[in-house]
Amino acid sequence: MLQEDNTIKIPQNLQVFAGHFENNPIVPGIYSLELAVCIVGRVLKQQVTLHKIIRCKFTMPLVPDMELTSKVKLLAVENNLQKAQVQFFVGDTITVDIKFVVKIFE
Amino acid sequence: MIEQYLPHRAPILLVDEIISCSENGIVCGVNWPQKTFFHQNFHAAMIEMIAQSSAIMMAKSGKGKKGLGMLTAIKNFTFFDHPQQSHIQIEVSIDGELGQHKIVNGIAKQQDKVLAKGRVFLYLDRGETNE
Repeated sequence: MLQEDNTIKIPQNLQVFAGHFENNPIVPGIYSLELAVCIVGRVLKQQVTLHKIIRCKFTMPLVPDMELTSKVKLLAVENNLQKAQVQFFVGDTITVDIKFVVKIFE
Repeated sequence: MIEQYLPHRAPILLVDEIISCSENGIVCGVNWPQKTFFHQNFHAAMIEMIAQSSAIMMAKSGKGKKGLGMLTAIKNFTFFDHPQQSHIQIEVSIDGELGQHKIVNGIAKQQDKVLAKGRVFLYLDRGETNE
């Protein structure tokens, strides 16, 4: 799903679509969070794990074949905690906006 | 049967039982060792457990209609510990309403240890199901 350039293409055959939802596939919102954490790890070139969600807003359901771009802002860092903001877009329309803190494993 | 209150099915149906329920709160159980699909993504799973428990509570209070509780926002959600291979308890209470959105506080626990807690916002369309 996550491409090398941090764009996202939603495949038609995600395993989770079997249960979310039958005959009406929608990517669970929590998948966007995991993608955002992965992207921040890539940008930092370090292994990270989710520590805290400051705020997260889902404004549009993500469905098969949708193509998303991502925008990452690294915010404050303190000790091994990195604050970041990740936004996903379809065209110019924002679909997910997440501000969160990841823990960096050095 | 949880399925009568939620459109979710395996592998994303996480809640296994309703332990107690009132109009403004619910306690649900999750058999975590069985949820192998999410063992690598337990942070996301705990948010989903709280969202599903909230949707069950709202469906139950909506006279048995299976409503679609769509997760629209998350706020101040902190993760404290990893789940161990045992039962997870989810405690949820309604904190307010914003139009058709319910503001819900949730906690994921194992025994008395808090694994995660925070606030989720759910949009409930009582007239629709995903089936």
